Amino acid sequence: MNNNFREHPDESTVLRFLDGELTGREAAELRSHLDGCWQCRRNLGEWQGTIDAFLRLRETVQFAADPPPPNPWMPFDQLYPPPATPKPTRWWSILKFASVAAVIVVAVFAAVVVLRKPTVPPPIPMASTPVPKLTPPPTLGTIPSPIPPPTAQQPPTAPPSPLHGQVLAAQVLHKLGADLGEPVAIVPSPTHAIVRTRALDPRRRQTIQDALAKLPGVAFESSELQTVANSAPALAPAVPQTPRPKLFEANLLKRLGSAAAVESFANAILDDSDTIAIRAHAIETLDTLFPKKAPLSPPDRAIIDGIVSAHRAVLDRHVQSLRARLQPILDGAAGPSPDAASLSARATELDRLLNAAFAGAQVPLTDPELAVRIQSLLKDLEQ
Amino acid sequence: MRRHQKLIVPVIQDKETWQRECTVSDGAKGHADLWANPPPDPMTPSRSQFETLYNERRTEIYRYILTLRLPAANAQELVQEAFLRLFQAIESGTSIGNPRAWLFRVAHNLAVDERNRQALAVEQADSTYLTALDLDTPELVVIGKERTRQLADAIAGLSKQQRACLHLRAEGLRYREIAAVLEISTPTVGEFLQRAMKRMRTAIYE
Repeated sequence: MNNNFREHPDESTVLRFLDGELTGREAAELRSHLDGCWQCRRNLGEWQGTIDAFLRLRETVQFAADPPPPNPWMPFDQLYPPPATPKPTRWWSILKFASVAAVIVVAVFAAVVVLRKPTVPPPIPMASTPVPKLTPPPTLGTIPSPIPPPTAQQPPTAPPSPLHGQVLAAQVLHKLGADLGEPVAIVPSPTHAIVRTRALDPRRRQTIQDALAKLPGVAFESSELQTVANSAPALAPAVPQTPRPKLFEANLLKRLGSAAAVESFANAILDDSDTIAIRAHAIETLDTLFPKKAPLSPPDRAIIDGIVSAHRAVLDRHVQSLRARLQPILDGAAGPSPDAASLSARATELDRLLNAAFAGAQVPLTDPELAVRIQSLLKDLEQ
Repeated sequence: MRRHQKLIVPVIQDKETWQRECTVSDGAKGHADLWANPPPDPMTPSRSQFETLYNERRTEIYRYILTLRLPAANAQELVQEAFLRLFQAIESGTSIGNPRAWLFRVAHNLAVDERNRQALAVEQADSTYLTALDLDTPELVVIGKERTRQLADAIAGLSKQQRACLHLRAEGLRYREIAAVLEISTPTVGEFLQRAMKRMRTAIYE
């Protein structure tokens, strides 16, 4: 984005403006620029015209061609029947419940007494042995026990560890979908967990902040949009359109029949690759924050493992999708299995190679080498 | 009714979103605010709110599933299943801040499962998306027949995710809601939309 739009805003900014995705200040700055710039006004008009044309096509052609539902919609009460009216409570059912509860209480008490019995020092004498003079039996409270009571095994009201706060924050961010490439990070701290956002949409930031506010030991920090926007590096120049590698193009054209189908195929592959890269990055971030050696409690570890599994499932699905698409045109050997730390690196490399294969980006590889490398990376990511 | 194992629940605790999504506009009659008589738990809608949501929103979900190139019978069944899951999820205590986005997401996942089951037939249908339709309608005269054909070709050439972003945006979902539906990041939604829009613009203006 250009600083205060002294220069023409880029495509992304104009589209987000049309979609109401800019912040109030950004939108105001863009409006101010548009007031004085014919070129950008015409540009904006063409984007709006594109939206209009799409909506017109959608409404007049697609909707008209959409088949109506073949059956009447299921009435709401049939789809989701109202709950049955609870039966009136009868006196004997209360009695029955009370008696069962009493039996359970007695059984638990008996079990406690039996379990503590081995800790009583003197064994019960046999009938044939002379009965020694019994001292008064000690009360339960004074019986010395080699096993400390269960409550003594757990530290009393231990302060929550910073790692626990980080786990809770990771869980909340995952539920909000804020761990998929948004500028939100969990920053480790010796005393508490910090969740830091940068240049996030204010509403989104508020949602995250509200969700985190309920968590103990988690602090929220955000940086100003303007600061980050000014310090952000300039966008990379667009990748020049160069011919695709001939091997892929020839194969794809032969298989798919038309340039449009090849384009669609390439886009689907790159979409899969985007998702793989995002999920791999999320897994790597969790692995960095919560390495296997981190002293997490079992419940916390289960939470992190659950999040990783969720990311992994999506990643696997897209890797399989990618493999299914590419299988007919790739042939090569497998490489070594990656560890967690290199997962993201491999996903990034795959993305780069697929962009080379299907979007014309340059890599110092021949077609066969490219095919072998993509095949190898796909196998690695599947493991 | 089929049972699917996958059920991803986006949790967005946001009462304002609930209010907006459950507020149904009925034109001249004004707004029937579903929150006019709030239930005991402000995040748990009543049966009548469920019913209104079902009656008002099912068509747009159905329409969206059709864009994923599923047969009408499948699409209708999936819509009903998505609503059923929503009601069951809320009743079981799941916090769902944005029921509309949730419905699109569950419906999308169900549709993708169904597509995978019918992979071959759908792939074939995809290659003729829009282009096989009658584009010679009076409403499209303003665009021009040739431009309309080029626009349809451009849309047919989009990836599934770009097209999904486009249709979800046309249904009024914001970027972050689309991101939740498609399980991608919000910036990625922006990129997909930008690519799709650029291609369509080229078809119309160049």
